[in-house]
Amino acid sequence: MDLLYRCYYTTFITMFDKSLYWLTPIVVIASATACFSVQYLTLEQAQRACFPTATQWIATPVELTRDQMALIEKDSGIPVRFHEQKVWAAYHGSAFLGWVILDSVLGKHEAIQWVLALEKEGSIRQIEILEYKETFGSEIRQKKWQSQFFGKKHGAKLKLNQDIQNISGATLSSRHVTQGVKRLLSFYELILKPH
Amino acid sequence: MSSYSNLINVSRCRPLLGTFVEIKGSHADETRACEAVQAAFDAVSRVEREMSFHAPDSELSLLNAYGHLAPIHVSHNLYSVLKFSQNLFKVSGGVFDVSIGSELVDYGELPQHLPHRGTGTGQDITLLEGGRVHYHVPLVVDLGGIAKGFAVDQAIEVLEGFGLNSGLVNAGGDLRYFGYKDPDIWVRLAPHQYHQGPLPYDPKKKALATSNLSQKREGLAGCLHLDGLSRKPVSDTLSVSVLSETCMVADALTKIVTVLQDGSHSILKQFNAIAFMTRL
Repeated sequence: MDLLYRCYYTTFITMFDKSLYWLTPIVVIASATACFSVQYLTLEQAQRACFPTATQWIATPVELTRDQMALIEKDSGIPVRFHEQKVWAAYHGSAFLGWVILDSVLGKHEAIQWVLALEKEGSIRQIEILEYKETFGSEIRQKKWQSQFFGKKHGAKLKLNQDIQNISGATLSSRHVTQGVKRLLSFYELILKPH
Repeated sequence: MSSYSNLINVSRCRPLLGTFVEIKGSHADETRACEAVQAAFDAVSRVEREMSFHAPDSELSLLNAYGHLAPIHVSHNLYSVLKFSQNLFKVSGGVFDVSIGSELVDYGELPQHLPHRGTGTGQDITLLEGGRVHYHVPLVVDLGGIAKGFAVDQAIEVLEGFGLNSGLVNAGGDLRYFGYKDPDIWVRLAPHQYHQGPLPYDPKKKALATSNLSQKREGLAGCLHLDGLSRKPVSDTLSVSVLSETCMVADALTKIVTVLQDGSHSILKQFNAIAFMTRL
């Protein structure tokens, strides 16, 4: 089909030497599984990208109580979906550098795994998207699908730049990540920050 | 996609300009590629600080607040984008008008943080010598139809300046590349619908932008386009892509072609661009 279209299209361009074309839509509609996903960084790569000089990473995951979740929701105005927040403290030798917090956000059409890196005093150092998946809304609410996406093991090897497409089209809003940043800053202030 | 196997590809994505900005670069030295990608993100962040409508303390927001009271000195970047916008305002007969911000606020597409509404059009903006800008009447300028493309161009210049073998910057669908012979580009027509296939190819036109209003039908904010003349929303049944030499041109021309549809040939030729459209 692709080849056929290529031939057709070449003819089309030859016949009409002008600057405006009408394209017959050749539409790729996804099957039942996610139709578009990009993996940018593994967790380890993201940690290194955020704190290149770090020599040690200490995992300090936080299990949130219901009360703590409610507090974060109240402070940030953003719903808290998960009980566990995965956090790493970055050190160079014995010197504390800052935090890396792994998080995920779900939109109507997208699921995004990302990290927020904080300086040691709590200001934002960096935000990196690890993985972006576009999928169907019904699918995204299924627990099984979520766990398959977010259960990626620490250190899992990803092959970068394979099957990554460049997409031009309707602008995708990053507001869910922006909301996630607000939520994690509240999480830092209320829970993580040494008091 | 790279032609040499010894090149290291670096690919990063960050939330900027209200969307996801993806920057890719390749070089034999990974550190060099990473530095280049970081510097390119810095360039995009700078454009955001200068031209964001949403940030009340951006340079553009300050210009909108005080530009009608006295001439304001602005950055070289903002001045360049306003200058190009003025040019497009003229050649499009007012269809492309950055002063449309007032109506976008009315439609709830943009936040209201000014005490005034705009009372004029693009012709009330005067660019003075010495990088100063003056509004003759209160105006609410929004660069949403052009700033993303400009940011992509800035980031590409940074990647090229670092001497990378190839680079690609994609700011929410407005993209430009160098060093790839034939990158695999899809056009998203609607959520889960793509055009995958050969696009009109021209080795000199390595910037592509797509204006696609299908998301508006789902009630999402931030994807309404207005005709600068009628100040009314344009049809949401069209996907328009423009190939050009720079992403700023491609970005802006998609807006004009979406309004003009068939009547846009002379503008496209004037800017050495190609448009392709799909009815949704």
